[in-house]
Amino acid sequence: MAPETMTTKRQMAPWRHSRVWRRRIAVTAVYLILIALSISFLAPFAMMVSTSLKTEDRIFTETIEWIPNPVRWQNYADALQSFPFLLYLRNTLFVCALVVVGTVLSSALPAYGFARLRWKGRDTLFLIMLATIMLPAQVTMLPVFVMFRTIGWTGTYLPLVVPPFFGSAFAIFLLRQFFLTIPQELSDAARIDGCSEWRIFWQIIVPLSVPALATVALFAFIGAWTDFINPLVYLTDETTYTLAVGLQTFVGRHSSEWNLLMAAATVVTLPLMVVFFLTQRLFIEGITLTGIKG
Amino acid sequence: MHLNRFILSIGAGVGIMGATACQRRQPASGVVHLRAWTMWGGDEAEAFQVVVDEFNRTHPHIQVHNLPAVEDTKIIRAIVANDPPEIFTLRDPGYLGSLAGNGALLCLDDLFKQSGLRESDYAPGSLSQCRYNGKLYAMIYLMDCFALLWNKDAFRDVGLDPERPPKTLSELLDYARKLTRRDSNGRIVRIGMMPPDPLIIISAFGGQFIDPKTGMPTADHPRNIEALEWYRRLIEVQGSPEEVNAFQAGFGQEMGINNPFLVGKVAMMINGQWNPYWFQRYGPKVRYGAAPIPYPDHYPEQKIPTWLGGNIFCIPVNCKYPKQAWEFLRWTQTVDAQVLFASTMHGVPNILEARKERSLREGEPWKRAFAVFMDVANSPNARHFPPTPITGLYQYEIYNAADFVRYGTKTPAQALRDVQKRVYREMLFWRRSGHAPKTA
Amino acid sequence: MRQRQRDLQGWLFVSPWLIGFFLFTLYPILASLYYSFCDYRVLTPPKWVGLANYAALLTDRDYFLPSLWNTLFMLIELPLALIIGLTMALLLNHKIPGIGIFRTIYYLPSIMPVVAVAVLWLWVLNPQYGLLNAVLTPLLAPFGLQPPGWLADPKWAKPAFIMMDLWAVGGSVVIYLASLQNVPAHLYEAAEIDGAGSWHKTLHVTLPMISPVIFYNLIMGVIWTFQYFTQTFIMTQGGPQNSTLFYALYLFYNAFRDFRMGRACAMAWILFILTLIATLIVFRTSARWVYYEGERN
Repeated sequence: MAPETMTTKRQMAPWRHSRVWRRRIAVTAVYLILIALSISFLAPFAMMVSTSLKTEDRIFTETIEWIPNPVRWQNYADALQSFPFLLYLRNTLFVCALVVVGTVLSSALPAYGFARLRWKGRDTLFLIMLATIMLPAQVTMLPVFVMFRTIGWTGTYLPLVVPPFFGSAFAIFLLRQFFLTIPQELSDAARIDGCSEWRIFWQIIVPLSVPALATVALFAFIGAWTDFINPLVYLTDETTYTLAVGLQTFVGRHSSEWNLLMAAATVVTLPLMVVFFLTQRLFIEGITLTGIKG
Repeated sequence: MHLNRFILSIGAGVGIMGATACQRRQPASGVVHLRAWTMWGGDEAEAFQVVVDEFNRTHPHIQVHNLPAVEDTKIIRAIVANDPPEIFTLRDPGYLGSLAGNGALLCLDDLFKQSGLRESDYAPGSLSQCRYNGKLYAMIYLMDCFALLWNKDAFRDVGLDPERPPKTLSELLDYARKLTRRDSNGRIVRIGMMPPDPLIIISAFGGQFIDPKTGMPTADHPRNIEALEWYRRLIEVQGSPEEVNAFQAGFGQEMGINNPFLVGKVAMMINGQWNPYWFQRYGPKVRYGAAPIPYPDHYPEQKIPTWLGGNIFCIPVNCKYPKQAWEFLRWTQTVDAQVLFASTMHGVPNILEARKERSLREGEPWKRAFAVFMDVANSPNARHFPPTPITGLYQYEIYNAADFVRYGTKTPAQALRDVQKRVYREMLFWRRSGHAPKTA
Repeated sequence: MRQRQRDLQGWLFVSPWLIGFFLFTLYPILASLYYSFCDYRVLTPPKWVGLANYAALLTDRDYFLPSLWNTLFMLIELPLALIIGLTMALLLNHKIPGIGIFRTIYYLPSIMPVVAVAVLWLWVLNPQYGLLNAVLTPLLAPFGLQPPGWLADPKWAKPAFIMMDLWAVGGSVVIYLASLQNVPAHLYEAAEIDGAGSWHKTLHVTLPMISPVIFYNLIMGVIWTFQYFTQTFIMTQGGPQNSTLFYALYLFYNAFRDFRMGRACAMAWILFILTLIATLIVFRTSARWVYYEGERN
């Protein structure tokens, strides 16, 4: 909904007065709905945090206990002792940074090619690209592994950080959709002025697509942060593990200690929450540098 | 049941460890480093580490490095990529048939003969879990066996003699009905008998999974059908299948203080020998008894049935240091190594001599119950699932059949006949492709 | 610029993905296609058997066809996810104070570790002690009804999974939010001048302008639904009574429990064809309802 201009009471004619009130009611309604829905969305997360602070005997109770009694902060210390949190954090940040940079750069270019240019074979190739994500991973896992093993990349970060530099079909698809919403006039005008496609891409399309690019960056970041399968498959040295892997093996080692598991899971989730909260304004509301967008 | 299976399946579908550990070894110094990938995690991993440390201490020229909490699929991928660990455990002994049948495991017959170990040293059902097509493909290091556990206070509550457990399966049904309790709203608050693993009941009836002469499946053997019929009646005398299922869904983790037996939600159960120790640790006040599983009334030759499991250790066929890996496995068969592991892991030794060890039977109160398990494991009716190349599928089908029977969607005969159709066909397929065994 | 140069430019821009395709993606895909025509037991070399795997699967009434049905059932989730996702995005698009907190809350399910989510939902859905039934029981009691057994009941297990997925709709909401920013304000102003109310504005301005992204979520939804696996693997392993034996789970069992990799690959390719057909259908209809501002000429 478009933002409305506010006027002071003095300048308002009677019919504008009711408009302010309608807006106030609308806003209140929105808040109420948001709060009501939040309860159901938050419930599992609240359970996670609540369990993370419980002692073992209070985990399974007949009626759900939301407030742990007694509160056992020690769970977090125990969980963090179980795996080298800071080390895994550093590893995870390393992998995430590379994945984000690689994905955004290498997906934006093909997306531009698919969206803003007309060339032979464009639509067929686009369909082929989509087709590559239609095959379930279980059947390609073995050949992929054997392939990486043959070129000697197992045991390193390479299988995790190199492929993102060659585009991600999801990101390309998403960016293509966004790029297609930008009016052709902008590109045409620039072409008439003699701009190369490369310049149009960097100086017109990219600035206009900050929300989309930031969304792709966010998804890439979160995907890399929470991915436990690939690091577990390819990393052999425990000191190179990422947080997601640490959590997964934590489960294998302490399968019955739900409170510790929830503490570990909370610790792994919290940074993502913070990152999302701080950056959501950037990609949702974006920074647009021309006057065409609202 | 859900949560236990969930635990077992965490991490599966995961990939494989590569070659880096290989590069860390220094054969030049004369010490051989072996990688052991084992299924245990948490406390159990620590228990195994004690054993590993003892071996490493007494064998300075062979050092074993344990990697805990490893899933079977990870091992399979390592084998496929030609870089497996030197020693590994099979969380699911059912994989033995598939791996051996495909030639992925080192045959240990020669090493066994040369090592001076004798068949007669071994408890019933131990080496047979390691044999496929008559050949030895693994070594067993401690076994699991199952017995009946009952809550004495619950017995007293309903007027049953707490020192007298049910001896026959029909008695068990009777007791189960008496011990089931409901609250004023009619909801179950305690079931008399935890529905047991259908495989155990089939075995208790003297049922048969594989024909020993032909090596082909016999899922719809008449005894199997009888067993599932009894299984259905067990659920029936305690409530409707939905009620019992819903009640079971609310059980806490077995390894912990919310163990359903300890908190009084279940009065009797058939479970493994690790329980007395857990009971001591998580619910020392609970008074319980241990006894052989009841036998079917009209098959008295089935007295003292029990179901066996085991910790199976394998050496891959493309192992780089087979002799050293065998050294470790050979060492695990000494009485000292058996007793050491049994005292921390609470498994049943597979070497008969070790079962007599007093430190395992006396001392803490729970050891008396543990001794019951050890004795039960000597029974001639101690059985296990035969190693086949289709064990994974076969067991899944049986569990599914039990589910259908439980809900009344199929009769036991129907359900098992359907199972037989599919597993027979699957076995034929393996035979034709040259992988299946000629005999059981 | 000549067409030839334009073609070259197109291929050049796409080259990062194309190179990666030939390096990393093509071989595994072709390998799996080859295996689907073989009897491949994972640990021994594959043997060619032609269409045997496909024939065996398509005539399997016990597992393959039910697993396909189970997965197709989950497509119900798509329209629900669409409506809920869009509604929430519109709600969250208000720039009122504190909206950032709400956005974070609704996105939370997407960033929680799968392991924790599975356990938590097992607790929430527990028929006896779970949160959901604790809330439902007093609501249903006056009608003499009892809440369902969820994952313990074959009839309610799949709806339970749909519920779980809808809870995690935050991912698509973020995409909608990003695209809502792209809707030019002047279009809203023009509509208001024409006397349009908010419902009208939403229908005739907002939705068409974000249709490219609705299209994206729809296609992705189809692809993801067909490959649904992790939650059922962790939580129910296909039960009760095969009601949650989804296609990808049965595929996994074929590959890693039964060592029938050839059959698993055949399943994968059947799935691929089905997904491709579904996607093409959406593509075909898209011309009618997806509006690309950038292709107005």
